[in-house]
Amino acid sequence: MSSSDAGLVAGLVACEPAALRTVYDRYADRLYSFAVRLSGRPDVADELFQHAWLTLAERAPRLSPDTNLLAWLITVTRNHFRSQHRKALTHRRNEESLAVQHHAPARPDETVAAQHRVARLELALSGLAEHHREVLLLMVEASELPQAELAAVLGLSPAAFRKRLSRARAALQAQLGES
Amino acid sequence: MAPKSTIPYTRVNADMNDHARDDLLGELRDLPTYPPSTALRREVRVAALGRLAQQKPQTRWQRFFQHLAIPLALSAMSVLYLLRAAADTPLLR
Repeated sequence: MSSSDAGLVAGLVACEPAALRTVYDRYADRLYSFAVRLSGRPDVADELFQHAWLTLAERAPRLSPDTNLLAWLITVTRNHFRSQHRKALTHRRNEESLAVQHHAPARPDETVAAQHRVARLELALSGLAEHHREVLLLMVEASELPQAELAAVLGLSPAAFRKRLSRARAALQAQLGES
Repeated sequence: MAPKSTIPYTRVNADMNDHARDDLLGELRDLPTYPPSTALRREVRVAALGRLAQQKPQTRWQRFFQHLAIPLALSAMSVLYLLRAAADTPLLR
């Protein structure tokens, strides 16, 4: 947990709106991005995003002082997705995985080759099994967190997390080879 | 039978694969972020602030129970259950 996070958690525990505003500005984009890539659908991502922030606001007074806010938000998003949306989306996601790419922001400085590479990566990522995709998404959206924190998000031991990450990378490489 | 090679081919291959995968991880980290739409961002922000305004900070006693008393009680119960289970093992019976 960063030291600034500790201050923000203290602010949230005291129900200070300024603390929530700062947390929101800091993590909203990354959380939304995680939700989009996890679900593969912008409409579901909207719901996951809203749920995570409302849950944070509701539970703010009961946060533990050592809470890592990004890991907490990602955990809430992932758990909500698994409990509410996973079954319904399993069949639809493969057909609609390209919808995410149309939603992706374009970078004006990117070459066509780089854009093609990003599109290939996104497609390969969306084609992975969910347990592989989510471990890679954590490395994309929360790479600065220690691996122990990332493992805790998935409910794994650090050793099991490393093993799953290694397998996920191999699976992604295989997907890229196929495409 | 051919003599065993001392060159760790497997290890070398594994290392090469690891490097390739680290590059892949680097590329993943460079993927663009999907920001929420302006309308969604504003709507969720307002809703979350509204929800926070309905909450009250916990009292000192509530904090004491949540962060100290309840975890301590659960730990003590776990230790008691472990001791009781251990008492039934042949070593301690």
